[in-house]
Amino acid sequence: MLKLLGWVDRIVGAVLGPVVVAGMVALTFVISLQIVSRVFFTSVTWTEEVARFLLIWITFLGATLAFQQGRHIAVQLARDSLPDNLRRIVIGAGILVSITFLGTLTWIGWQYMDLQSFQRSPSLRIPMNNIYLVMPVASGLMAAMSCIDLVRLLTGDTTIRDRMRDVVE
Amino acid sequence: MSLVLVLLFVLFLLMGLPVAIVIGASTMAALNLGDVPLMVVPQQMFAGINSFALVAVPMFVLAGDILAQGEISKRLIAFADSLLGFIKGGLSVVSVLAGVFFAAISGSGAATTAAVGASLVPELKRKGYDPASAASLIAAAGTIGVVIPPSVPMIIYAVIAQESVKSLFLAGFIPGVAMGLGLMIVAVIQGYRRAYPRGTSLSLKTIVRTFFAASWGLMAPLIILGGIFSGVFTPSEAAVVAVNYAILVSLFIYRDLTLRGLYRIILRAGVTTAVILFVIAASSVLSWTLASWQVPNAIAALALSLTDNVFLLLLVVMTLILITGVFLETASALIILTPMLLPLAAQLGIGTVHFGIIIVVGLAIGMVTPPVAINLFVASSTTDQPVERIARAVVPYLAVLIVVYLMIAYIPVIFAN
Repeated sequence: MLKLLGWVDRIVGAVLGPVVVAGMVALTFVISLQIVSRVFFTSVTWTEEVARFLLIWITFLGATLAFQQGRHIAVQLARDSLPDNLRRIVIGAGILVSITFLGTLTWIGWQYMDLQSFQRSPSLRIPMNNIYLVMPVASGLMAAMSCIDLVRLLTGDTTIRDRMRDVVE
Repeated sequence: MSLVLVLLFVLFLLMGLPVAIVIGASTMAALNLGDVPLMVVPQQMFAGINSFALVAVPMFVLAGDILAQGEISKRLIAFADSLLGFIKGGLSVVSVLAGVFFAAISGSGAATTAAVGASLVPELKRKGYDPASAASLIAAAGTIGVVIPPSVPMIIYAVIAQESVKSLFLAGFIPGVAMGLGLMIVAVIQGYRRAYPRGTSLSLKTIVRTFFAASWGLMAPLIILGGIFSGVFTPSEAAVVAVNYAILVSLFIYRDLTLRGLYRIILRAGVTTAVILFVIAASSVLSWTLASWQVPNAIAALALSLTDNVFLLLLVVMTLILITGVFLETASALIILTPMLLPLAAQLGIGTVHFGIIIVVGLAIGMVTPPVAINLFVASSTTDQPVERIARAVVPYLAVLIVVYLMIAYIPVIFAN
């Protein structure tokens, strides 16, 4: 069971890595195109819009990847100075807070996407729910990983994502 | 409700939750108690990051990461060494100058610290410099990375304060150079006290040779900043030009970057920025909530009711910024403080650009003050010195940075144009 969960966890990381890199490369490409077309030809209008949408996707999926790798910014000094038993309780409570928040975000993110299904982007006329989809997907994944953390904590597995990692490594 | 928000925020933060979740969860709970439809959460989260100006953040991080590794940084440091190495304790003065050079290429304090640290610390050790002290100076010089343009925190501030990124970048030069000069003065004094050796002797021939060797690196800020200030590129476009330039130079001219290495750098830059932007998204909900409760105006009114002494109030604001910077990471602190303090700053007659410099420099100083001190951590991991020793050695540099900080705030004629 634990092995399976660890495997699911790693798959998420392995899939998201290339997706985030692809997003960054696409972002670079789109804005390079914007510069070249403006300087040498006539400017294209859709590049800014695409760049903004790419940024939204990179943010949410990259945040999910950072979550999987335990790389979000956190102040863990106070928690880590607690005695071991108390620390486990605090970690558990923290995971419950995360699950509640991320679960709610998945739910309202999905509703929001549904509400906006008739909206289209000004320039390219893309249905906006394609862009807003990323919120329920990302928060759903992060909520699922929090559940995995909870199972690990309850079974006494120590491989929880609570390593203190600074942003840049 | 404000009380619930504050209490939950502090509680979640102390529990060690990721800052984005701390902000999001405490705001969501307060909104729910106040019967505000939660649909504002996704709406504000998207609105917060749906901005073309913010595209510059991942791109400047990426460009800085590529340029910071390998040949470019080595040659820049050799050039800095030829200019100032002849001074007593010259190598430590050189590490500050290298930090200033790098600040003009990279937009983050950690990247600047890493670039200078990785190439200079072995040399500093070999020449008998105290390794902890050398590492702490490099960490302190790393703070200049976010003050001299390009600067990721300035971009974030500009987006929140609806100010132009370009004006903030322009205003960052003089404060950044002042910070560098301040650190150099301390480095020279220490050089004499500790009888450090002189380095490369001053020779025009060496200067010219290392200048040409470093020209690809020196050209980067020229293209980035020249492009922005001449109006050829927007800051976001300039960031992308910088990425293309960095990739071309590293892949084809110096050939010290493999495609595999490039992939890793892109991935790291993507995750680094996603972490920052996710905090921005969550904070947008918080800012919206605070604004709808009129909290920023209340803060301004409260502060002005206590005293109308502008000098004193500014000192209080700066202390608040410094303390926040000690406990929170730069981007999160910036996103929370800016909307709360802007109305007060306006009442005090401080311009948006000048206030941006005050807040960015204040939080930059927080990068070298533990417990949350990213530059010290980076310096520690690149030099294998324990953080505690570096933290103790950083005190004189910290003191001089605070003196410069006061000058930046109180002499706007020189420091905010």
